[in-house]
Amino acid sequence: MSENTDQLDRAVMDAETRDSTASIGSNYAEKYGFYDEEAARNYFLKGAKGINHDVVENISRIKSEPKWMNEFRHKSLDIFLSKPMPTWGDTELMNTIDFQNIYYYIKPIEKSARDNWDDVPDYIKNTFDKLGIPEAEQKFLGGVSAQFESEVVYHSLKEDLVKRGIIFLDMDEGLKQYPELVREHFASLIPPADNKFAALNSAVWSGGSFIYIPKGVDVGASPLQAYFRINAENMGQFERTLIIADEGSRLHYIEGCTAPIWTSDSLHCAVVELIAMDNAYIRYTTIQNWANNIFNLVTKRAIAKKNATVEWVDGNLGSKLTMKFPCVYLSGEYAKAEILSIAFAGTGQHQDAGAKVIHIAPNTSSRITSKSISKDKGIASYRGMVKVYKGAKNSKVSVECDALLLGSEARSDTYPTMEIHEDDVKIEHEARVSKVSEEQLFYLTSRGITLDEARLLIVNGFIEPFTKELPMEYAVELNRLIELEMTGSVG
Amino acid sequence: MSNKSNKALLHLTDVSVTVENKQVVRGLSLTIKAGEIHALMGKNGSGKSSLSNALMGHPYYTISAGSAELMGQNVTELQADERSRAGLFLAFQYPQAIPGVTVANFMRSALIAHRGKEADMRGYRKELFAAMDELEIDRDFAGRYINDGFSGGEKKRLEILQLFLLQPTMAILDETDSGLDIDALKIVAAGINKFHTAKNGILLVTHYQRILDYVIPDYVHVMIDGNIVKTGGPEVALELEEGGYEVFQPAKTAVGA
Amino acid sequence: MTTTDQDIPGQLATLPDELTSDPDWLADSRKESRKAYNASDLPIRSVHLWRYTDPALFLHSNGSAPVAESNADIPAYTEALSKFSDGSLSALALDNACRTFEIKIAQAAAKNTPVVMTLRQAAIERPDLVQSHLGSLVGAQFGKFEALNMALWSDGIFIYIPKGAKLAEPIHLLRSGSSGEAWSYGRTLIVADEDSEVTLIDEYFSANAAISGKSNNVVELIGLSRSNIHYFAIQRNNLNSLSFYTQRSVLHDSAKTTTVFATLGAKQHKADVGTVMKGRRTESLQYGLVFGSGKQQFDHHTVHINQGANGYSNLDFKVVLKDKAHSAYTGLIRVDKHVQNCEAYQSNRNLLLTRGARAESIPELEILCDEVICTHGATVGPIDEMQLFYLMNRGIPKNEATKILVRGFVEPTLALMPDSLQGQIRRHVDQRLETL
Repeated sequence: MSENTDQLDRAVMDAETRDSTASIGSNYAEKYGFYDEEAARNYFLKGAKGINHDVVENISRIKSEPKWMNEFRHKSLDIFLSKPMPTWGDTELMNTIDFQNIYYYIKPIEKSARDNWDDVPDYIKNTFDKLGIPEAEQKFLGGVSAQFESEVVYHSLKEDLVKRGIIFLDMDEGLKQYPELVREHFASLIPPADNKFAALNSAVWSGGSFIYIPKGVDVGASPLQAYFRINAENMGQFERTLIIADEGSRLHYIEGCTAPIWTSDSLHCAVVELIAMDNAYIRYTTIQNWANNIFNLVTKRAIAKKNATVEWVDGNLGSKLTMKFPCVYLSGEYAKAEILSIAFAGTGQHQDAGAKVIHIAPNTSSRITSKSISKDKGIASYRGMVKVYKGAKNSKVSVECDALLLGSEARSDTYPTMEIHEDDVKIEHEARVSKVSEEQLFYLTSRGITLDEARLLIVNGFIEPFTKELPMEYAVELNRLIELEMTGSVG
Repeated sequence: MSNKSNKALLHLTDVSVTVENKQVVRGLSLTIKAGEIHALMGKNGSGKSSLSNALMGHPYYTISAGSAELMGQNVTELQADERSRAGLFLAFQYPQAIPGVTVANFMRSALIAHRGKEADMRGYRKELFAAMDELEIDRDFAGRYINDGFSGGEKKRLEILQLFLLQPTMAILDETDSGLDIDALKIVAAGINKFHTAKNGILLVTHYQRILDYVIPDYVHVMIDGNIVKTGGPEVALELEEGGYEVFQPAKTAVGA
Repeated sequence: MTTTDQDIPGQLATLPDELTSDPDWLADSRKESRKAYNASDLPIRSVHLWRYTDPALFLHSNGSAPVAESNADIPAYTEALSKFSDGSLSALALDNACRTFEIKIAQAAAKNTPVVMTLRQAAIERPDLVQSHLGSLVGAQFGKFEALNMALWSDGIFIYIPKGAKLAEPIHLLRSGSSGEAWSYGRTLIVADEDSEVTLIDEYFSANAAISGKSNNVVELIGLSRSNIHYFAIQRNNLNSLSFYTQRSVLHDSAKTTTVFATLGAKQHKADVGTVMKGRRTESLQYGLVFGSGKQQFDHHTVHINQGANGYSNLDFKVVLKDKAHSAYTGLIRVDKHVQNCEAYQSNRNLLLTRGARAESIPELEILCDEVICTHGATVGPIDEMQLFYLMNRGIPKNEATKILVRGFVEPTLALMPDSLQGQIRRHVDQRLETL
């Protein structure tokens, strides 16, 4: 089958499935924003609010961790406490975070990380059923991990993948079973001192994924997925993910996140480290759809060694404030980075997202594509950094930022930084900001399509370069989410 | 309602059109009945494209005076999508490119808008491909983004594809012949002829007589400075070809500032 | 006032006596500015406009006053004088280290005669024209070093173009740097009244090629309704000098500016230039041309602030670097809330001719409303290989081909300048390219 036919089929299929999803009239509250009261009543362990060395010690003790990790946590907390809040970005919003009004650890059930859905208590399973996780697992995923509050409550990996030596565990289990591998790579790309929120995660981390793909193994076709769910009010979720793709291996990892809508704020501070060895390929896809009371302050960083490729596919729809700048170090010759992101900011939201690529080795290439939509009083910022070190000869960089404004009070900022210390390079950056073209709207409406539908078509078309990189099921889901955002009467 | 307006698909009475506060069509009247093809000929700037855009409801063009009725219904207060669903169609002279929106998705949305949300769209793929085959449009175009990177001829053929699928009662084709080579022109003309029945009407807006060799109009109108100065049969187009628009230039009695 | 001011390095203890004879309003403004300078912290290096230059370089150093060379020893002045006698200048002003001034104005029809005088003279004689505009764009609150200028400017140039005046020939300002090592603080205020049109050449150079002169210059351009200002600033100081330069224009209804900044000289040059598009239907075209070699360091910031409806702005900033030269460019387009129908474009291109050259590019957009079309683009890279290949295919040696391509790169910007200036800069670029 030619590539053309594939595309054509996909286009027609998209068009055919559109209809079935277009009529769904639910809103965030109904679809994702539900709160599981029963689960909350049955929490196995819920500490007090606030952060101090006792909290850290408790988490470490419950997890029976090795001494080095216990010390790492305490040291990280000291860094967190001594580091000032960032002086850049949306400082006004950031400074409203009340670190003492957050639960740092909630263990929802006694025995975490079960590998059979039937063993997961109904009151928690309900949540994931509603979110369609078991269904997706059956249909096309190679493995699933489901985190509820601070712990992974379920994970699975298809048998054939187990046989091929793939390790897919939650981070706590990873530390227990593969202490040497974890110790070698944990915090190797993001040390606690990197930033205040990474320090906080390092102190109180719990859950997240640990993945190792052996040499030459390809799991690109059956993605592994992690789903992160916050249920409690004033919850802090601090998962920690470490992925190691050994030489010549391939992996596609997907994460999704949702939470109920509370009136007071919750905090999500994840740290994600990806290691792509020579000739390896990692694609990390995120569809972040947190409720609008969540601070989503995430540090994500990857290293791509010789001829390796790392792709961050990053969708930001939810949260109150997201600050996330996925990064790739191109440390080996011919390494490649691709960062493709969309952000949708409605009233009460600031999506401060972007990308960071550091070219260290010669013949490396990177491409950053950012699409943002600011609606009503939403603020979308692109913040990017491309650095080419001397000696990274024949590097190629392409950065493209497109922003769409919906509403006269919407705001879009673009702050790309390029630091080029090598002359033998090719760097291109382009950015555009505009509202939906009236001419385009007229063209579509002149064919009988209503103005709202026409606007939606154009917005979905605007993010198409992103959507087409997602597995079919996610693409349909994303288009539907955008539709919810577009029709949601906010503000 | 009178007999006459029953049969009239498009009935324009003293229509004036303004764009950016400039009057570009001045009190034009025109009636098109079912089964008729009218050609509206004029030079660039004569106001014929402005009239077409204003009739479709382009946001920059206003019908500032007169009335425009589509099958007895006043369309001036309707939004563009409502006009389309009422049976009016405009094939654009410069169709918009919309990156990211595929032709398949677009046409499906348009068809659902016309046929209603409950319409059975199972045969949609067949319908689309049949129309594409007819117009010799490569099926790959279904997966391409609307007019994005299309050649001039491809854009015009995509307009005719939409005409085929939407089956309007009254079609205005604005310079659909421009920018086409002779082979493409023949395909487009064949498409227009195939579309045309005793039940629909066509207003062919053109600069040149060339397309009228393939699509034979019942009436030819010559438009100069915002109004029709001459109406006749196909022979008028030939007169134009011979003598140019000067022949029809009204005597300049008063020269405006 | 505390006496400890004296002890803190960089603090400005007192104002020089010579500046206390100013009119009250000006003396007050100097005092305020001195306070603002002393009270503000040194910018933090992580603040984005200071990431590439050490702010401590621009702190005030108490010391002797700037030193002026004899006017006769300034060849550029002799040259300009002859141009003036030819009738090819509307006015000529020599600002010699902010100490001595020579001003010549060509006589024309009354309404076409500009007012050109020293800024302090203007403050005394024409407070009606000066008081409301001086510091209105770049005042004590603008930034630490702009406050320093506002406190200490020893003198400068004031130009007023009367209503409806359309000057056929340019006004040429020659700014000779100090021959001593003390800081010189220069200030320029230009007011173009309604419906006027003027071309200004503002040329900064070192009178003495060996001295490491230091200058802090501020230029304010006021474009009243329907005025049209063409402003060309050329900085060709010697390679030991330190230069801090801030320029702002404001445009009222239907006013236009074309501003071109050519940065060629100085060891270290930090510039912040921009246009505030306050009125409706304004148009601002900004161009930059930077040529760096050796160990020169440039740090440019440009800004377009759209506040009125139907504004149009375009910026094209070109940088050519060889040897170990370093350029940082930060360009901002800001569109304020509820601004209708504005178009703003920006492009930054960096050509790196040799290994070791470094370029930073940070084009920024802050868009707070939706009736806009804004784009920016930036590129960094060496000479296009295919173009080079094409020329070499025609028998042109690589070095020569490179020169041709660099000239082609800068030519569109040069073409905007008055003829005499074009020749001067073209020669300068050629000279710098010789050692490629």
